Parts: sequence; C-alpha cells; structure tokens
Amino acid sequence: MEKEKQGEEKIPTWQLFFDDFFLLFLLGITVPTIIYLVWGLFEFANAPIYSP
Amino acid sequence: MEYGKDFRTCSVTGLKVHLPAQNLITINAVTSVVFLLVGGLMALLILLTRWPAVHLLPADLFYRFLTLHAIAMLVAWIIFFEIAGLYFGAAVLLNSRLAAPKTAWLAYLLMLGGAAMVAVEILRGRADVMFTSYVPLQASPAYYLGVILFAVGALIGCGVFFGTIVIARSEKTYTGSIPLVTFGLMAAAIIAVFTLACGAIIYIPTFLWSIGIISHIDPGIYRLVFWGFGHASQQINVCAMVACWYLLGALTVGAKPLNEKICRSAFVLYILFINLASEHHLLTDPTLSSAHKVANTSYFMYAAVLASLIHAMAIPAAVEVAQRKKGFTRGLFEWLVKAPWKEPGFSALIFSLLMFGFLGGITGVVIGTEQISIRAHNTWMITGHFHGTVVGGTTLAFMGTAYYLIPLITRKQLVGKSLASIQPFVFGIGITLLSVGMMTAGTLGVPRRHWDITFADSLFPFSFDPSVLMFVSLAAVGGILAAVGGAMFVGVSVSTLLFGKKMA
Amino acid sequence: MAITSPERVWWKPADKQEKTWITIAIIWCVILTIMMPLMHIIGKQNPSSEPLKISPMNFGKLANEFIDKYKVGEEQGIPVVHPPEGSDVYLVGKMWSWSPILELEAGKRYKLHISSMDLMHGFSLQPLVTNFQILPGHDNILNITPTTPGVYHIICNEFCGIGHHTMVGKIIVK
Repeated sequence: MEKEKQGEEKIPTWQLFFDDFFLLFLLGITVPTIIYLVWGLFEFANAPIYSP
Repeated sequence: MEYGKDFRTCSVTGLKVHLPAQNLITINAVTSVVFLLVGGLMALLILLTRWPAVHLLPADLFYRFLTLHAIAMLVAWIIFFEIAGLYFGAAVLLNSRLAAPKTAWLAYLLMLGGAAMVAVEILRGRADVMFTSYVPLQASPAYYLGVILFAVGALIGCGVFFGTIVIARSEKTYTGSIPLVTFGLMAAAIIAVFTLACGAIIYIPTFLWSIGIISHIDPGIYRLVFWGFGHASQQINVCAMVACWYLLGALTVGAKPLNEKICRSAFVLYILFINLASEHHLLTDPTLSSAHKVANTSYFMYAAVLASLIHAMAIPAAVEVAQRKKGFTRGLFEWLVKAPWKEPGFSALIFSLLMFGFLGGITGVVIGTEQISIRAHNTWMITGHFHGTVVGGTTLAFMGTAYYLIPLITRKQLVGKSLASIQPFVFGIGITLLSVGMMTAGTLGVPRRHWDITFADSLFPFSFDPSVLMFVSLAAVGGILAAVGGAMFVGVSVSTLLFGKKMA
Repeated sequence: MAITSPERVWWKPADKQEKTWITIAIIWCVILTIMMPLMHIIGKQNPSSEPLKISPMNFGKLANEFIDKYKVGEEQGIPVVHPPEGSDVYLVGKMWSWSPILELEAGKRYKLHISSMDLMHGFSLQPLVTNFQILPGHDNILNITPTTPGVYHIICNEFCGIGHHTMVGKIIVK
C-alpha cells in the first residue's frame, strides 16, 4: 500500500474518467443510440418500396 | 445533513442504514419475490404443457400463461429486485441517505400498478401477444399502458439511484471512488436508462395505435426498437448479476478485487457496447443490411464479450486469493474444495458464474452470428440460451444475494438455513438440465412458443426425429426440479420475512 | 473489498497473470471479430441482403400471378407450383398456412420471396432447421440453391395466434 499524503499523488486521468458518472452515462446512451438505433432507423427509412 | 434519528448502524457490517431506504429496499425485494412466485407457477404449467406426455393446458391458456410467465419474470421479478439492489448499492454501501424517498415510493407504486395492470390484462385474455407483443398482434390499450407505467416507475427509481450517489458525493459520506459493487450497479442503471428510453419510444406509439390514434406501425421498425428495450434489459441484468458476484464474493469469502482498474474497465466496456447485442434478434430479418448486423454483433459486441471474459477471470481469481490467504494452499484446488459450499451465497455465486458463462453466455455469442442464427432463430435453442443466462445466471445470483440482503436489511434471522444451503444446488441442476434439454431439442428443430410439436391438427402431417422427445422430456424434468428449487427460495424468503427472529 | 471504497489511487498496472489472460481474451475477440465478416463473404449462407418494403396487398398480387403462371397441381387445397430455374419464387405466410407448395429442382438457383399477409410468422424449414423471420410489409428475399432431393416441411416458429401450431407447409425438391 502506498502512503496517502493528501494531494501528494496525482489521480490518474483514466481514474477520473471512470469516476465521472455523467460522462459515462452520456457515452452509454449515445453509443448504442447511434450505432444500433439511429443507423437501423435510417436503413428502414431508406429501404426501396415496391410499386406495381 | 440529517443523520441520527433516520439511521441505524448495521451490527454486522458497521454500515449506516437509512431507514427510509431500508423500507424501500424491503418493499421492492418482497414484491419481486411475489412476482417470482407468479412467474414460477406459470413456468410449471407451461412446462407440463410442452412435455407431450402431459400436455396439460389447452392451447389458448398455454399461450396466455406463456405471456404472463415472461412478463412476470423478465420484467417484474428482475426489475423490482434490481431497484432494491440499486437503493442498497447507493444508500447503504455509501453510508448515505436515499435521495427523495417520497419519489422512490411513487416509483414503486407506478411499477406495482403497471405490473398489476399488465397481469390482469393478460389473465383476462386481452393480451395473448407474448412478451414481445410483435405488431400487428394487438393487445388491449390497458396492457401497453401498464407496461409504460412500469417503465416510468423504473426510470424514476434509476433517477433516485443517481441522485443518491450525487448526494453521497456532495455530503462526503464516502471518500475516493465508489465501491466496485456500486460501480457495477451504476453501469446497470445507465443501461437501464437506454432500455427504458427504447421502451418508451416503442410502447407509446404502440399504445396510441391500440386506441386508434396511429394507423400503422411498421413491424420491422417495431422489432428494431423493441429489442433495444428487450435485450438491453437483459444487459441490465448482466451488470447487476456481475455486481452481485462481487458482493457475494466479498460476503462469503472476503474476496477482494485483484485490480480495481481491470474490473471497472470491464464494466465501462459493458456501458459502451453491451446494448449492441440487441441486434442478435434481428439477424434473420429482412430489410436490415448485413453491414448493420455484422457491425453490431461483431466488432462492437465483442468488446462487451471481452468484458465478460475479464469478469470470468477476476472473480474466481479473487475468491482463490482470499481462500489461499486463509491457509487453504494445499495442491491446486484445496481453496475450492474447502470453500464454504454450505453458504448459499457461495454456491449460488459459483453456479451462477458457471451457468451464465458456459450455458448462456457462450451459446449467446455463438448463435449471435448471421449464419448460426439462421439455424437457431425462434427454435428452442434460443429459449435454452436465455434460461441459461437470465435464470441460471441472474436469477440464481439474485437469490444468493437475497439470502444476505433480507437478514441485513430487515434484521430478521434467516429461516430454513439448511434448505437455503441446498437450494442453489437444486435450482442449478434443474436449470442446467432445462437449458441443455431445450438447446439440444432446438438444434433438432423444436420451435419456441409452440403448443403442439406433434402437429396433430396440421394440414400436412409432420413430426420431428424421435430423439427430440428425449430432450424435451429432459428439459421438462429439469424444469420441474428448478421449480422445486424456486419454491424453496420463495419458501425461505417468505418465512424469514414473516417469522424470522429479530436480530440486534 | 468490492463493497467498500477502494484505495485513493486504484488505477494501477495489472499483474502478469491478469495481463496474460486479458491478452488471450483480446486475441480471441479479434479472431471472432474477423470471423464474422469473413464467414459472410466466403460462407455463402447469409440472411437477406436485398431490402424491399412491399404491402401485403401487392405481395399477395405478385404471389397469385406467380401461382397462376406455374401451377401444376394441388394438395389439400394448397396449389403446387413448379417455377423455372432463376425465377422469382413467391411464398406466402398467413394465418395459418404456407402457400404455395414449391416444387424445385436440386442444383438450380431461385430467388425466393417470403412475406406475410397478416402477422409475423417464422419460416422454419425442416429437417434442415433453417429459420427466417417473416414480416408483413417486408419481402425477405433469399437466393437459394436446393442441394438434396426430398420432401421438406415448413413449420411456423413465430407466435401468430391460436392456430400457430397447426401451420405447416411443404417444399418438394426433385
């Protein structure tokens, strides 16, 4: 175990990123929304329609 | 900061327990077990119908009870329990007061009311549509409304969870980063928001269609958005289950994560990529491009598979290290042999991990490819897969957790400890047989959601290879054993709640 | 422990054993990632790659024209058709039948169009266990080459109402 002097050791950036719930939330919603939902809806909207 | 009168200190863990949080955890957990009982009863009835030797229910009741079974289990049992877990992870584990308890009660009432509406509509025969309610199949407006109310309630519950973490942080009830279990539950809650948002996007228009305001809903789009709700909800379950694994490891053997960075990274991979598994349902659908299918189920989803592989190593490793520290160092496996197998939380942890990993997880990744999906889609292989994950994995992990949560939160001593000890074994073996039987029968062609695989009333006679019967019967036997295991759990939980001796 | 806050700085390098496992896992996932598009290209067994939205009414019209053109008989009230190689072949799923009965020839290519007149259905070819989701309003277009002569059955494996379990069709390969 390292010594814990207050503010002595800088907290790694990645650790701060993992502690940022809001950012994780934003990414967790945005990524599947775009890759799965929006892309899929786009394909359905642009699919050719049969006309006799 | 209102500490003091609203809190008690847990004599076992030393954690501060916010009394309103305690009540909310209890009511959500109790309600979840009630729906588990309903779903379990339905499971037994439909199982005895699919077993051709018994063929218990008539066709209409079979399809009706199948719908109720799925809703009671996938939606009610699991999500009520998860809400209880969320409040535990945010309030109790962080020594904090729960944010807005009155709002949390509103959430509970919405969920309860919604679930009750759905159950009533199904039992009245106004929603014979399966859990998926694929348009153009149409249920009564009240059915859709019930689902919407439930989803809104669950969403509010997630909000209370996030709010509690924010409060805990600002009131400094904990220092540094949140515990790993809470982090895992947070991942579950983020996925829940995506899930419930998709649920709103699909159920609200479908409700409007059922009352005639919208004239048409494209079935392809319905499936895309529905599974954004339907499979993503299973990913909530995965995260919550893994959080429970870490919790049970800590409680039963004092396991400590070997490297927090690795475990948390795995949860972050889940947050980003696990929802893309929803694509699996759409692989044999028309109109959607192969590019969409491959990109979602391949490149991106495998990042989530990586996360599962990480947890699959991290948890057993943590258990082994904790056991070796206790002195069980003889040979390769003394740490496992001398582990506390009589503790239901430990056996539940191990079986849940094994069943989720080997029965459910691997098969899921396998059938989630374009070509194999063609072989497996809508067969009993699918059903066998998800009984491995949701029942063998998540449900058993939740049951194991409940054996500790109920005494810790309600301060009542567990009633029927010896029954609880063997329950994970009974349930685990039952689900294994059920899952294997279903998957094997499915690869031989046996369909899901089907009342008569002898096709007695068909225009053209058709029958499966006779070996199918053996696997269907195996599934039935496994299912009955699992039902016994489920009843044991319900029995122990209810007895503890009603008759448990009050502890300090 | 997992139920308590970790140490102040927990972003630390992993153990050698953990690194080994994670490396193996990453390699495995990369293999899986390559396999999927690879199998798509070389496997020659893929779901539909020709999107087409078509109303049930129009699909029904095309199917009836197809049946009229190539009808060679009838079985249990369902028309039997024998389409030529390379043609557009129509299969209609509806509550609760698959129509027409297709008579195809081994080794010949056909473009199969499957859709529904009413609800979703599950095309499930036995005993090959080949399954596709059938949607009203969408044409599931598949390029097929039957390889083995025989009589095949189509069951339905997507719930479509009270007669769902009676829905059986036929494909004959000569």
